[in-house]
Amino acid sequence: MSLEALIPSAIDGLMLGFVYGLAAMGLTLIFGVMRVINLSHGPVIALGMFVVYTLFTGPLGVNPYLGIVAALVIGLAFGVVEYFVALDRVINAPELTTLLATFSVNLMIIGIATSVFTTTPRAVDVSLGSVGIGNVTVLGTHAVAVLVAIVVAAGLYGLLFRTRVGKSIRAVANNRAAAELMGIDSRRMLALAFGIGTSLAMVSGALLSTLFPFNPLSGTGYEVKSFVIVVLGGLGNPTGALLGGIVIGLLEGVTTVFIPVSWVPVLEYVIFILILLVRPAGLLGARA
Amino acid sequence: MSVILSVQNVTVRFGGLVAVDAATFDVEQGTILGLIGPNGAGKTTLFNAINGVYNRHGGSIVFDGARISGLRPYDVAKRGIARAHQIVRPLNDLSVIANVTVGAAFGREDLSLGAARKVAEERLAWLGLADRAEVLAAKLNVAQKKRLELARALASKPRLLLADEVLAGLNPQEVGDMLGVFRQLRSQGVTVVMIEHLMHAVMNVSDRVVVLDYGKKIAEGSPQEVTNDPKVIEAYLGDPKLAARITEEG
Amino acid sequence: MKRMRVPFLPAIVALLAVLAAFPILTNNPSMREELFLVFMLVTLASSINIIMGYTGYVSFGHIVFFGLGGYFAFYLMQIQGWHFIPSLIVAAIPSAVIAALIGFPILRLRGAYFALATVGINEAMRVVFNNWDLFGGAVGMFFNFSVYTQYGGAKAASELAYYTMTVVAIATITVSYLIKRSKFGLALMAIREDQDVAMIVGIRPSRPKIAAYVISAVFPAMAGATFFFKNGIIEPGHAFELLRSIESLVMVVLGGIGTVAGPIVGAAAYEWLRGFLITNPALANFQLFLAGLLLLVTVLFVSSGLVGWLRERFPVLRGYVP
Repeated sequence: MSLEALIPSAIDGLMLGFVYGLAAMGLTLIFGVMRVINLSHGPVIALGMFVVYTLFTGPLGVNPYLGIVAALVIGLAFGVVEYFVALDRVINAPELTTLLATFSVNLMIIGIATSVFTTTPRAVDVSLGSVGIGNVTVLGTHAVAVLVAIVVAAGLYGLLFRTRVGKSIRAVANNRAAAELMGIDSRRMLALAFGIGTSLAMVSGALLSTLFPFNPLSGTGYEVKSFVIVVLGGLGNPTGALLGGIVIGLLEGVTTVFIPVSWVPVLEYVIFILILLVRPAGLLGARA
Repeated sequence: MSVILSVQNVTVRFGGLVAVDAATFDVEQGTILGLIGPNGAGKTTLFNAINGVYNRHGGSIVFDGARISGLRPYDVAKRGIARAHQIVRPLNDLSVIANVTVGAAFGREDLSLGAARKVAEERLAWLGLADRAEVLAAKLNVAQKKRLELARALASKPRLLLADEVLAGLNPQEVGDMLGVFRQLRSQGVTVVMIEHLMHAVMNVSDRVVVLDYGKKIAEGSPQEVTNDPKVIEAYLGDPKLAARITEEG
Repeated sequence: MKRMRVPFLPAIVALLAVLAAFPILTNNPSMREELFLVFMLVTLASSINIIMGYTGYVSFGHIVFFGLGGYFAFYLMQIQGWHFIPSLIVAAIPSAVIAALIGFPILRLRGAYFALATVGINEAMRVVFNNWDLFGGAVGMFFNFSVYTQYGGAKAASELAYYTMTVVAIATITVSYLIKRSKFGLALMAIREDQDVAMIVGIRPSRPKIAAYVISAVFPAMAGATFFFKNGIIEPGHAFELLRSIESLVMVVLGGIGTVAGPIVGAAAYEWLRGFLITNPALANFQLFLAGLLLLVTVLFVSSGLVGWLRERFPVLRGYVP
């Protein structure tokens, strides 16, 4: 296979990987802090798309990239509310309970979103031109998406590792009872962590809305992809999620050069299951 | 009297930490052995090694003439070793009688469900839980959960009972009842190894006592010998007056 | 675990048989369709309950066995020209074997990891069948109308599917009940409560867990075979639909996890509710929203489900409703 075909699709995949990674970071953060697999993750990604869409097509015609900022804020608020409504009461229950609690939110979001927006495909029409280097062309929207993903991921790191709040969240993730003895309000930190995770999902959805068409059900595919990425990087490990996203993005980009597109997910799921069985702590984690 | 359990040079490591360090002792059939030592001395870890929870340890453990080192917990259970945990572990969403039936049905005897249930009823009556049989295990109070833990262990009609602090948290009356159960077991030929912090109780009921400190056996003998052993008084009790008091109570 | 033997099983079997006969006797096809679906959901929910409710393993992608059974049976009928009944029985075998092969590694995983692995397996099967030309690939397979002539026409075939689904549902409930009352069931429940304690009392967990997983796979495979026989068409998206898997979990929780009666009640209630919402024009759009709300309320406030709640409220019921 020629290098000319390989490089552009690798670059495409790499860029998409950053956006996948962002969504997966949200999922893995939530799992790492409170051991909850958030099944409302997919619809929340879709909500991020519709935040941008609604603002963009509304009377104000808000620029999609401003819409991303809105998605960030709305995501945070939505996540905090979701935590208190659906999770706070059952946060110490076995995983089935929290799975179903977040799934109930999934159903509610999809129910409302499909009745408001229907399942007709939508698109946010934004073009930022393209940059050509040799025979490689990079779309402006892709480049900006990567840039935003990197800024948001860096922001998350700053928050988790450079601030007092971040320290508290990490303490709660590490040992909730001990954190409480140190005077940390663990409920607030759990709610905040859930908010941040949700916000990351919404931002990721917002970015995806500038790249591909979508409808309220589009999030589900990205949710399953997030599961794969999160397991690849190690459940609960945000750095692993970002790297896992890049790996999956690259894999999607590169393998399509060699095998039919429809076989790529087979490869992804096989990797997913193998990692769960052989190295459940993820590629970056310690050997189980 | 024959030796039923022989612990030879058993060593358990967690990374760099040596939790049990070449522990060696024998237990004769139909006797009660008290296993004592300060917190963190490795007593519970030693139990975990004996019943196969930590089955990768150094040294060897021989039960009834056969080596059991390296066996999984269910195989150890089938040979007739039962365990009552320090931190009670009831099967919360099952009834009290179901909890005890589990012990009878899958242990050494491998009974049918009906037969196991009969044994379970007997055990519950023996331990004074008969009236709570149909209650969910989660609803019992702490003392009842302790008795349930013991009833489940005894339901398998074990030849060796590993009892990990079953007296902790009980009132004097309940402690007395529990010691009665141990004596009855001994009279039936069942061997008991008990970890206990309640010194007067251990000294009162044990035939022999083994003292662990930092994973090492520092003394072994009759209750009398152990309490008079200067090493025990220094290293373990650290307080001669306390030692004197224990000797009186014993 | 009851001293008094209660006639739950004969009662529920008689009830279902009478219920099943009703649309036939009154010649009511729409009611028959409705009951066909209810019996299918009862089968799925009761099967999931064996691995999830009794054993404590949240099999999120359990619908994979429904899809596999459907595909294998469809292949035998369509490509090999077999009759439906032997196809159904034979299709259950590879489904069971696959369950055993999958179960062996993934049942070592605990909690969330197991749940995720089952999702991965279902999705992997979906994309594999999507690419597998032997089974029609992304388009799937469909019957010619002539296929139904050997059963005496489409209507008769539909009735045959209905009777079969009734039998499968009754078989599932019977097995579920017998497991709950057996020593095997007690081992499963001990594993569910605390696998380490189960091992210490002498239970070797791997065998009962795999057995439970295989049993819980066989009935959905038969239900899938029956459903797609009646449907006349099978394609990957419909056969391995994750949402249907999750709906079955919801039914189990709604009715009462770990009880024999719970999944039956939950499946009936869920289907009744959905029917009510869909036919009500004001609520049709909010069907999913209301389903979600109901689920959330159940999970937050009635975690033992309808049957569990009734049993707690009226302890006398415990002797009668396992």
